[in-house]
Amino acid sequence: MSETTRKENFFTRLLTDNPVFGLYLGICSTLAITTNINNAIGMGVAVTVVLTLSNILVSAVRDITPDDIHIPVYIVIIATLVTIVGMLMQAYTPSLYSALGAFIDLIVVNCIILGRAEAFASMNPIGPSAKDGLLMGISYTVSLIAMSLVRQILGTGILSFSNPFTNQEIFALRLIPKGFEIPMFSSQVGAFLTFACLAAAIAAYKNSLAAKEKAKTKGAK
Amino acid sequence: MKNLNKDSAVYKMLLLGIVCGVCGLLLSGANSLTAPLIEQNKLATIKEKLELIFPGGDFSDVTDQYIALDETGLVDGIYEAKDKGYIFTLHGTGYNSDGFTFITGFDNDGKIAGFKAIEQKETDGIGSRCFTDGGEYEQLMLTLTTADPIPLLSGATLTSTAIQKGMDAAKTVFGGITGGAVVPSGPKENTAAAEGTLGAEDFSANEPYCTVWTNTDKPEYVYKCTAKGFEGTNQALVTVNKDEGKIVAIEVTEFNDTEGVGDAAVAEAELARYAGLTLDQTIDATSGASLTSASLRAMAAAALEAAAGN
Repeated sequence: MSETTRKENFFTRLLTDNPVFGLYLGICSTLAITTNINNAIGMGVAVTVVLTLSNILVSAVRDITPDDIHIPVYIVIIATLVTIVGMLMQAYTPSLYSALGAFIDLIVVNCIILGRAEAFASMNPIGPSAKDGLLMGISYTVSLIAMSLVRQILGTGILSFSNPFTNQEIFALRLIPKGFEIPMFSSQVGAFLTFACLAAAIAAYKNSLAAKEKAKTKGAK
Repeated sequence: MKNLNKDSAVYKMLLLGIVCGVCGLLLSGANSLTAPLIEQNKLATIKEKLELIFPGGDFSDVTDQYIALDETGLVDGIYEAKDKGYIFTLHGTGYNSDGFTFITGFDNDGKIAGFKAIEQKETDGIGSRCFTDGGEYEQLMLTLTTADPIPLLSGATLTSTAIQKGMDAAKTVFGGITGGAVVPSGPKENTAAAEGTLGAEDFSANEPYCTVWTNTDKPEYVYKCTAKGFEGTNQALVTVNKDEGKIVAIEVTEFNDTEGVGDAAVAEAELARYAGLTLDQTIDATSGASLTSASLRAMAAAALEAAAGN
């Protein structure tokens, strides 16, 4: 596979297999925490780490785990990883930890993680499982960033990012003049609206890809 | 494990046990690595406030350990200042329905070591007087111990009642931790005053109003009182022995009644009659100056009642 095709494949998968907008997984935390980029990146990194490590571990124990106890084994592994990530965040990025609140602990029940453990890692070797976890994690992070970009800019008029370790502001750009921002986007209603629009855009892209594929097959016939 | 059948119950139990054991080990490792930092972070957010109570203290968060001692739900946090005492963060609702948060501490002898607002939006000049930095209420608090009832501040009853409740909750927890004596401040039983006594007289027409002025010489409290007389409102400083519920002295600081008539009631000899007066006793009006005298007697009664915590 050439470098360009591989890149194209990566971006296509990022959009079509996107866990949030493509598979509608992990929506609860997506709607709740995407009020700013800091939260989105923090949550995205936490989920990516847990997803990649859980995929690796689940894949490593897949041959020795009997079918009827595989769910408890996976849950114990995932819960341990989430608790450790939560402890590390509480210790090193306390402001981010308090901003994300209960949603860090709720990563345990994030459908993406158990979904990938069950659907992919339990049937594939460690290497591909790690890659799948990483890709899914990145897709999830990209979705969160997209949502938070829209919500933060429209809701507050400012695009800002601060260092989660020191809480120091790195940049803050006012993109919408004061008084013209739409605070609704910072609330739950804005979350649903943004989600619906982005999900519709991804669905439209997927449909256009499918139509192209169909036309190609027809042409080949 | 090789000889065990994968489908046997023993194998499954063993596997689950091993997975749980390994995960437990990992968790304990992560916990020992992060616990001190987490503790530090928790304290960092409040340390500035804790320093106000015990400057330079070595603080540790003991909320989880002792919060069960609080039955009111008003205590938010409990912090130990090593070898100094305990600090409490509390909340209450006074006049503003948003409520307020404040911090207080007791040293190891049970003395109130500090009292400060953390966040409050009480009415400026009324409820907010309870939280004035270095103000009369704070100064008064610093003279008290866990064995004293917390007084109310006249004119800021709603705010100071909420503070009183919070302080009582903190005192109870402190008593539970140290085993020390605690006296709740709850409103004293209103024993019906005998007819004809100062406590039974109705001075509402004089509109008496007292605030704690100073408390330099415990148990003597000086109250700054005002009450309407014949022409205007008179003002006096009434010193009360709180333990005995007696007036020590009364000094008129502002006289606004008729010169030559009302001033008979504020003559030195007349004022001397108030010394030793309690709510159970009777004090006659000064003849010829009965309205000014009523204003003085109203202030005396109000100061005694304020001292009694009613």
